[in-house]
Amino acid sequence: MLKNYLKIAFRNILRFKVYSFVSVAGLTIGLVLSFLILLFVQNELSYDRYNKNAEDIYRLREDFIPNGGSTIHTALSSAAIGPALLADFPEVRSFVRFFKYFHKAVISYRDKNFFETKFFFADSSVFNIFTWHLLEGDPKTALTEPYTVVITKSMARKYFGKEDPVGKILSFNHWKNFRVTGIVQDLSPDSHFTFNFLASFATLKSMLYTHGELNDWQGNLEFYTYLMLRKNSSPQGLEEQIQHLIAEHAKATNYRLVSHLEPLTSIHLHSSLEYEIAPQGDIAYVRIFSVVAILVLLIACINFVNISTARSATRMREVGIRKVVGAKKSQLIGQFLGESVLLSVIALVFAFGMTEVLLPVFNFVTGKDLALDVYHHLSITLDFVGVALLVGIIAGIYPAFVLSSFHPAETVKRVAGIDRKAVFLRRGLVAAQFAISIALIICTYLIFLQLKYTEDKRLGFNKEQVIVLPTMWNHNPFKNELLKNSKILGVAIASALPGKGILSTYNVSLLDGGAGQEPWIIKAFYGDFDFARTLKLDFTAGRDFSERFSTDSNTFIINEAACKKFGFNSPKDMIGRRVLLAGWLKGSVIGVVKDFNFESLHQRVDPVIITPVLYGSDEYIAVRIAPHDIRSTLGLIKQEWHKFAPDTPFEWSFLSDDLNALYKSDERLATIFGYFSSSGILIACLGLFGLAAFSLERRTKEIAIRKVHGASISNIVFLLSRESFWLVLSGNIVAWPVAYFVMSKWLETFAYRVSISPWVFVTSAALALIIASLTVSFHAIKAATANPVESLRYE
Amino acid sequence: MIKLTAIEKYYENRVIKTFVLRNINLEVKEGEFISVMGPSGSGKTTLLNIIGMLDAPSNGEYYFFDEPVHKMNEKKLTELHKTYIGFVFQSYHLIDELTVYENLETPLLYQKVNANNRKGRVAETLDRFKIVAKKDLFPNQLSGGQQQLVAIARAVIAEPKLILADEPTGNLHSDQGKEIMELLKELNKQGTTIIQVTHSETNAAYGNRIIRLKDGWIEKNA
Repeated sequence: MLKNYLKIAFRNILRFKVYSFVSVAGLTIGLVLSFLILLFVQNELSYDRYNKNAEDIYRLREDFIPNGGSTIHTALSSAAIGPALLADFPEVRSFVRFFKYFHKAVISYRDKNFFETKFFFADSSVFNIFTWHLLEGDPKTALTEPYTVVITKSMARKYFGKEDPVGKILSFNHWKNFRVTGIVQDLSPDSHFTFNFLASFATLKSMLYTHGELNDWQGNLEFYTYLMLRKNSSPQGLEEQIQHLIAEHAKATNYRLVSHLEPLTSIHLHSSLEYEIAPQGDIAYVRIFSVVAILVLLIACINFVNISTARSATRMREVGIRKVVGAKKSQLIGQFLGESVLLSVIALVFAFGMTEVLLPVFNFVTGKDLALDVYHHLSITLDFVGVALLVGIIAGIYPAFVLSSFHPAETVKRVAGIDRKAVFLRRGLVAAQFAISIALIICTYLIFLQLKYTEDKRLGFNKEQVIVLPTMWNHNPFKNELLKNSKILGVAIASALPGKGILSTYNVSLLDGGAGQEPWIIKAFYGDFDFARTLKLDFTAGRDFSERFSTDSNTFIINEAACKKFGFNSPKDMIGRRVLLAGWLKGSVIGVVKDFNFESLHQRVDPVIITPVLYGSDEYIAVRIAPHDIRSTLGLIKQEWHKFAPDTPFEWSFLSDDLNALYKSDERLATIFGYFSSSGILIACLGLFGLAAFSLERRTKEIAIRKVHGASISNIVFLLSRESFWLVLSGNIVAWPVAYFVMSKWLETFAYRVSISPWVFVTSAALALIIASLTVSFHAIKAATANPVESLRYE
Repeated sequence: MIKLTAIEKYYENRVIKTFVLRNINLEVKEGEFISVMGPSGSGKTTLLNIIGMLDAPSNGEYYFFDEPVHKMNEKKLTELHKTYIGFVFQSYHLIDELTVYENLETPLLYQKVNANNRKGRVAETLDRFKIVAKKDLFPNQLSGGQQQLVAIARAVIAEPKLILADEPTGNLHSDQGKEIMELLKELNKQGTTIIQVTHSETNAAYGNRIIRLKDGWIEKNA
């Protein structure tokens, strides 16, 4: 019996090549996209779960709430809390603090010098809590002593080659020396952060925090504290107790902290915080991608159902005969389900192959390293098989039940009768497909418009032709040397640049502002005298820093937002006001600049103050170069760099590229949406193509008769295309409000955004219409130009 | 074998009932060869479908071997019709996607006959109808007469007690038609009950009783 079904199924597949191709191709595309997304989602959800203690690890983090200011949700905590918790609370089994060296460090071994960014410090308990495997060294003692470091296997290879690194000395910024005490397996990329160097926390006391900062309960929010709790202890209860403990020790009065414990496994997707230990994913993207994948799969399923219901009408006679010769209803249902499952299994096989082929592209787009490995992803593989079978069953179930429930006398009579209900359903489904596709096109369009906008928006400074270099020990001679060249238009040293570095927050207050002036929190950074002119900031009042005024090292430049926050609507009134920054730095404001976007356009411009004094925080060198002959200018800079910093590698970037990096996840969204919407429309058109072929087959005679009675080719084409025109148009009615709603939500995440123009909708609709008409007209023209005598001869 | 009492069949819409069959009383004994005649639209095919359990009557009682067909559920009906009844249609109704061999095999598949037995019976039937050479051809590669031959072979392969033939020669030219009628007569001689619908007096004469229908009434039962 099964053999008989299979035989019929295969013969049908081969006989109706167009339909089979349309069903299988559509489903394959749908499956491939959802497979890729499923791999992506599964990977995103699996972050940090490889850790054996994952369920018991929590990160202690603080919300920083300045008086009268808005809360800053940070991933950080102060250094003193961890040890106190271990001592006071039995449910805390262990703790580890990480400190991330925020600047780039030059690490050297003999003649090898490299910039390294992933240099961390950690308590010796780290390997007890995080189950990272030490290839060499003792996990218990590796990080107990100051100036010891554990390095990853790839770093060992990079610096030591075939030598045994253990016991060797690495130099840090040509300043301090660290002894290698262990080698750790490279961290899985499925971790919320990865390190290359892990130095002992004990080092910090004599290296960077020599003034007792490590005993601070409330300030110096610069550490990442992880707690390992006993099984079954309540993090909520502990959170409250920590809150009380900090309140007891709190000294500062102009802000307060609120502690939170976040589970390790939710950091990657659910924690969107300031000062995060490493860039994290976003559950919103996981959700968006899942929804979009489901939508595309839905389009493909609709195709599948549509084609099989359309075809089922032509098979009514076969059903009738089978009933007459004794088939039971259940046997017929089995046969139709079997056929549709067979098709879906074929699609599944293709989909597996295509997924394999497309994975590298997908990895490139998502920045992941995903692989489809049946053995390692058995559960995913089974999910895929399950999805395919389910689609097969859903697609087969309608024709199976409808056809098998007809009375045999009816089916035999109605050789190719029209089932009005089925036709209505089919039209509705096609309209639904187009609704989804059009919505996706609109979303893609708007995402691209917004990205274009972020690229073109006047940021308040000139981002073009600025080269960014890391700072060096002795930057002033280097700077002066560069400025001698006519192609170098300006050189500035700063602690942060747009798209790079971190703005620290400090207290600020007006010195002569009267009693009512409470200190508030401002973002501040160091910029030397040349900063404003090199980046071409616009002054609305006052003047730039200048060498001509000997007092200028005690002055500030602020932006308009800061000016308003100080309570002055006119920037002129701000000039000359004396300000107290960070509790010790006094000076007067000499200039006010237009707001400039230091961070991404997702964020509103905050009040910012620029100081030429916060010593020791210089971090970047910005070089404005002439727009022509960039290559030789770069060569020149490189030459000077090696002269002044022979031990430091030359690494540079364009400021505009650094800025674009801020929109990486938005660009990823755009790319993926692009792929999805084009696939969606492709599948929908495949479906339309199949249905058009089907309906024309049945209208061959009608067309012939119309032609015999004088209808022109364009009459016929119009007649045949009319239906799909209305279907696509009605798809728009559903797509527009949905896309509008979704996209206004997304655009709300940008402080600066494009407005949603009606043209976007009209253009998308027109695009869908054109594509759909082209699809249908292929068949329509073929049918319209055929010789009517040929078609009538069949009757 | 078959007993119909006061069978009625009508189609209803909001306003009117359209009667197809009215007050049909009919008894058929085993071994009979009955021809149903009448003008187009007189209800011949509907009557045949009701007897064949492909269609249900609107009113009345139908006993098949003394069992009340009008009270049965679909499962029982399918069971009964696939064991006792074979069908032959004017337009043959072979499955286009299957070969002659496979078409013959289909009823046996639905009766769950095992593979060896199936092979034997299909071979025997092919032989008996002299279509062995055609067994691997598809229906559209055969002439109308040959297709009807296959259709009859398929109807008898499950050894039904009753064959219902709806204008079996309607699409055939007279020589082929004659052949088919001879074949049906032969089957009847071997004990199969046959009810045929026909327009042709010549074909009707092959039977031993003629029932004439007009506007849904039995006009003459002789």
